[in-house]
Amino acid sequence: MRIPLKGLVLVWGIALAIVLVSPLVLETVGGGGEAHAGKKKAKKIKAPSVKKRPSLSFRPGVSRQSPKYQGKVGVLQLRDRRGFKFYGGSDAFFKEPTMEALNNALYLGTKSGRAFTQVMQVPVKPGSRMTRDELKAIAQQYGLDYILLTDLTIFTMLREKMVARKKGMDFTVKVRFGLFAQLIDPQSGAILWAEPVVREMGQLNATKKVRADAYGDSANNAVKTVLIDMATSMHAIGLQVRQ
Amino acid sequence: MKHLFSIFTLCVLTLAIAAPLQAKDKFLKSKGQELGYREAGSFANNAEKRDIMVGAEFLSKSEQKRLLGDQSSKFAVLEVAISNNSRFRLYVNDIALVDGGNQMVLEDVSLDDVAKATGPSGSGNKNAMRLSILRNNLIDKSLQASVVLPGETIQGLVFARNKGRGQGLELRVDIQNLKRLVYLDVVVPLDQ
Repeated sequence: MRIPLKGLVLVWGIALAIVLVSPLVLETVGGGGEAHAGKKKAKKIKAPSVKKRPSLSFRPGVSRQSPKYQGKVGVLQLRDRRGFKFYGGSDAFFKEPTMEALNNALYLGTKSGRAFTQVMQVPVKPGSRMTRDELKAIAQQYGLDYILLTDLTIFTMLREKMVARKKGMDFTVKVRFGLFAQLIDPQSGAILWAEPVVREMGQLNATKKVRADAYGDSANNAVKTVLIDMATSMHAIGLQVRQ
Repeated sequence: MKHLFSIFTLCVLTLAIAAPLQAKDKFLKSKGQELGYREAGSFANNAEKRDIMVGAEFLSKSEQKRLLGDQSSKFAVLEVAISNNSRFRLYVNDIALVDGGNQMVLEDVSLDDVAKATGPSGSGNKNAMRLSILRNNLIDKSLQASVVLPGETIQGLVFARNKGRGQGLELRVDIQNLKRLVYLDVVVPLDQ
């Protein structure tokens, strides 16, 4: 059967129209939720007002393991080694000042991890290059057997689109938290344990704004998990000083 | 038969025209792009000390766009590799750019500033998607404080402000031994 040229052009035009128009029709009629989400536009992420900010303090769970290290460990203040602040060049997303809250969390997490018989929070902010002599002096001043030197390598909020497409309000909001900690014997300068621990927690966010409840729980869970895993790792692979 | 062939050709053309345009978004394209793996010794600028080698090269604009989605004239981007041929675990304690002439350490560049200069401004789903891809790229591809195992090579991007950047720039990498508290500086002159 011979098909005329006009007929071919007509068929092609109809096919093109169906392929181009059908996603729009489906979005409006068939995919109601997606169409509604497609009309919502994501707003820029800004820190919530002070009253609405979530807290970074939490009650740590206590480990049931026996202490591995007999003696007192001094937990130095965190060294901030991050490339990004929490979001948009600012850390003002929590009720407490972020570094203060994380320092407290590190101290409480080390204490509840029960790798040491005694834990002390040392109000010393370490320099970028801590020498053995400096650590020895701190240990002498505070009566310490061990020193925990910790770098904050990442604490930031990430928003990711679940479907690689410009339209749609299908984001996940994640918080990534990472530390690099070293357990040091100040007398010999030997490093008994040194590991990076990074964890990421997130949840779905389909609203225009990123509110406090979109990231608060994720931040707390990420911090908790890192501290628990740090203590577990210390118990499992930390070296001990020969007496 | 020849009409069937014409119909088939028209169908293929139709699909090609109506194919989704998402692959053309430059930030989406950058999502799966990685730094090509190579050891520090293969870089144009490299230096070695005690079996620890550091290599560095400036990235071209096209490479910056490939890896990050876009580039900014405010920042120069260095690809840095650290190869650990020693028998110790190492920690990259600090990375700094130094003006070789007066030995002044240049100000650290925050990734927030890089994201602000390179990424989109404004709200909306498209901009939110692009900014989120850029932030993820910067975190995953930049060289941060990290551990290098014996035999391992790590790579990443380091950013430098173009304003006030003179000739004779040096990359100084401060490396800590993870067996005993000892430090080592490896300095790489960035001539090329």
